[in-house]
Amino acid sequence: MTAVSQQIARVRETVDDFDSGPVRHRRFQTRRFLIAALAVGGFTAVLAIAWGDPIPSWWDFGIANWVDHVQHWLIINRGDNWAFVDGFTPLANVLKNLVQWTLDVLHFLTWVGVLSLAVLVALRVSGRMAALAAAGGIVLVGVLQLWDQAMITIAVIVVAVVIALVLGLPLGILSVRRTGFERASKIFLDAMQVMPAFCYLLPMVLIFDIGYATAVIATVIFALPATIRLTAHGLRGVPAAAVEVGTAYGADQRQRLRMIELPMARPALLLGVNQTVNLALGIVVIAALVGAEGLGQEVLNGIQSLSAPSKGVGQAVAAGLAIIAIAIVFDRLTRGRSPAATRALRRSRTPQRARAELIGGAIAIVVVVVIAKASSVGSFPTSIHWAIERPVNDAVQWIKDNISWTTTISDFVVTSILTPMRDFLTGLPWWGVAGGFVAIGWASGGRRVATTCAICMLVIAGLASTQSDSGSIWFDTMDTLTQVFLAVVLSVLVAVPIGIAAGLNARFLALIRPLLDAAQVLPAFVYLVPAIALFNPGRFPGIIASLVYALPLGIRLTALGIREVPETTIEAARAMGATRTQVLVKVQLPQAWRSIMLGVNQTILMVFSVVVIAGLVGGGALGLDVVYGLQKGELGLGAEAGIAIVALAIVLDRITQGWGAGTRKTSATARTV
Amino acid sequence: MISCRGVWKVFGPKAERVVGTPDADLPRAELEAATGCVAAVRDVSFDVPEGGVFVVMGLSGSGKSTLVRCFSRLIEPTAGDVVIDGRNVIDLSPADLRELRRTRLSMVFQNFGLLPHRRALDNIAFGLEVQGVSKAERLARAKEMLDLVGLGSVGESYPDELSGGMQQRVGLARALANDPAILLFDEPFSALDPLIRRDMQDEVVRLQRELRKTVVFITHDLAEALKLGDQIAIMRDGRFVQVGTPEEVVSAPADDYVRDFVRDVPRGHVLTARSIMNPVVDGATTRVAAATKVSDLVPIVASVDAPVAVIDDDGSVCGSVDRLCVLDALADVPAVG
Repeated sequence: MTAVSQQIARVRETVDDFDSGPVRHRRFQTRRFLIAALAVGGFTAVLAIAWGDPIPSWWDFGIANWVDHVQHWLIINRGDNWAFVDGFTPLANVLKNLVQWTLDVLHFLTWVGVLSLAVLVALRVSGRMAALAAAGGIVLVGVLQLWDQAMITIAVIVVAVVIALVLGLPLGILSVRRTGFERASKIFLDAMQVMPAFCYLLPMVLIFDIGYATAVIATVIFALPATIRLTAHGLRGVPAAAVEVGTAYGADQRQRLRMIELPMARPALLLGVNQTVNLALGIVVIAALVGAEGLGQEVLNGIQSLSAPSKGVGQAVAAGLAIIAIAIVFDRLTRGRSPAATRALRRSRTPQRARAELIGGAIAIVVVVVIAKASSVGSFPTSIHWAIERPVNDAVQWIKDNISWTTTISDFVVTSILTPMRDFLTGLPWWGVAGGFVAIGWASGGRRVATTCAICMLVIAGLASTQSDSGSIWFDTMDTLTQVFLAVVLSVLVAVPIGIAAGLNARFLALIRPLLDAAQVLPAFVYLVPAIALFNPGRFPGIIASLVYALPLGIRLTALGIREVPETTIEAARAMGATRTQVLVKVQLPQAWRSIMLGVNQTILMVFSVVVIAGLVGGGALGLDVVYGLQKGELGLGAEAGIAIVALAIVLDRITQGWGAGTRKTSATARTV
Repeated sequence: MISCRGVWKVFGPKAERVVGTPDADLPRAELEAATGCVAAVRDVSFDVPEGGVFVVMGLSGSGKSTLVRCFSRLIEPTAGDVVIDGRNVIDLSPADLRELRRTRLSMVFQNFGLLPHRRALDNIAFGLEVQGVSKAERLARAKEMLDLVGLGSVGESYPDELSGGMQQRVGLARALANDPAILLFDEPFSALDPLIRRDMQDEVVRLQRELRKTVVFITHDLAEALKLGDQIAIMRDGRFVQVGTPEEVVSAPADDYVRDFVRDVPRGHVLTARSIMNPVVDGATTRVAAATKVSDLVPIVASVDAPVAVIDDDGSVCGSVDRLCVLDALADVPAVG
């Protein structure tokens, strides 16, 4: 399956989800407007009068205290409580051992063994070019002299992915078979999709403590929804007629699954594996926060010790490159072949030949490993070292010394946009901010969205007075809000025009498509490193990184929306004498609106998913609170900050979904007319 | 043999309550308005004798595809009995039903229904594989079937490498591989172009002559129905409006709907001397068999002035034809007598 069809499948998946959102479309009516104004005004007034400003102590949930109590209790009782003695601790040990064994196997294979294994698997699953790329990626890891750290990362990911597949495939099958289960799981999966990864880290740390086990579980939880969804998606894609053939010839349910559904869903299932691995790699750095070690830890160390000459950005870049290399290796291992290549292959590969290949491959690996053990090539030669740290750090230093415009831009944005915006928001009474969001919610999606906004704002208010490093959770929430807002606005301003251009011009799309594909494989934090190099740590590089991270999907969805406008509609407009601009403005953009709004919506979710990482590099605010919570044991603060991020994410998610859905009705009406 | 008694299929909420009420006789739109249900098959009864070919002919939406799926309960009938080999299919346990599907009847599908990930041979062997037949045995049987349908060399090919006609031959071979007593065809040739379709029809006629299966054949193509069927049922809005031999349907349409259908049929190719003959007259010297097609009568009556005697199967004279009645038949004037 090619990268593009993967992408389309991925986007379709999101479009499908988006379709189930609320459908609302209202013409302006005075009566309706009055009702809305009255409701929102009433809500705000109640907040202002009954709650008042500042938020009263009786509306303080005290979650931080509670979490801290739980943590305290756990530390004391972990050793003798039955749930831990018989449940969590053994489970944690099993996971830890699995990682350790995988690591032992990788070390036993030595680097040449790992290299040959990767090449052979890539050859079998994805073809020659993929094998070449995989080999290149593995050699790069060696050349960067990050072999041991990389093996830790690979071990954690392999264990996590295997568990995700073992759980996800049956669950995916189940969700196709049982509609009840599907409905239940949809709620869970939707929640997972909005919730940034780090949110499940906190309870995991509480229960399992820092270590491989927590890292594995967090990675599994992060990747599992994609596994389940893509499995279900693949099985649903099998034509009902094909399954009916099975029934008609007397196949029972199991035979149908084995002989018809699974083989026909194979490309989609492989895509599921591919996505599972991609997602798992996407949170290596966040997983490092809870004990995954490996390359993620290297990146963290680099980012957090910016001043040390041999570490700093250079270290982060080296580790980042190694992660990209591994991402590419895994991607190529699980990508599969194009339909044309599959067709060509199935002619030549008889079962006998496939078996011979398998045995030959196994023998080759054994021979390679034995030779490697006997000679001295067992560990990657230290003489081949691409010491990228120093040149990178020198370059960063040079940029700092000689390029001032980046600092100027960064300072300008911070002092003239971000800070005034934040000060404005924190200067408002909290009920004013809450009322404002509820009003925007009502305007976008009516009563339902407004209610969701109101609940979320009340939740944030219940956390608001907890003290954080930079003030209070309320202050940090407003800070995060301004950063997210700016990142989303900038990325929409960049993504939509590029997307439109790509949608209109097939050649331009072909030109940028490889870039978009590559960007999709890169883990989020990779964008941070150059951003820090250019702009110094602070709020601005975080914004730039989230912007770049979110861009590809925004561009894709816009281009997709434009391209999906039926050729005949455009032809009809042309035939009536519309100019190209008129066609764009009156036909293509209105019809692509829903897809574009979906792009905006997804952009927001993606920006939120890197809030914590942005917090690490000077973005501060809620993201940093979460990091503190995890790294300094202040789990209470981390938990509250996490909840605040989710509440904020839900507010922005629902508001933008409302905009997208409104127009859907319009186009539906247009179609019936 | 297959025997259907009062088979109903109603889709919609509380479908089983519709059957047997006056509602069930309402036209489609009114029924849907009154109950929210759609009756796809209404009170259908018929018998197919062993070795017989029963064709159900109707336009799209007439319920014919639903009906054929009721036989093996791919669609569960709402009411009625389907008796195959003396056993009521409706009462079978899931295991018995699977056994029936594996061994007694096979289906040929409209869009061929080949599994794209299997070679032609593996597609043909599918039914045997489901039964648990060993690999060597089922592949040998599949090769045999491939030869039977005249496709000896394409066993290794995948469906997407075959033309539509070849794909449906594979579908036919798959249906025959289990050696079923009953073959169900669900519009098997609709997706093929006209020339290939005629080839495939000839193929079915040939195979049927060799194998003598009991066949239920669904089609929307009247010419196909007339060509293949021993008995034809015209289906409309879930009901059989007429059941009869091709000749009966063409010569004596049951209502305007059927008459409309058969209007363009080249009658000379369907009607026989028996259906157009006049009472016995004296003085006939030339004789023809009762089963002679009208189109074949034309040169005979043209060459002799006197009426021609029609001879029954047992050799007795049962009627006569002359130029006038042949012309009447060709001109679509209802036969007298």
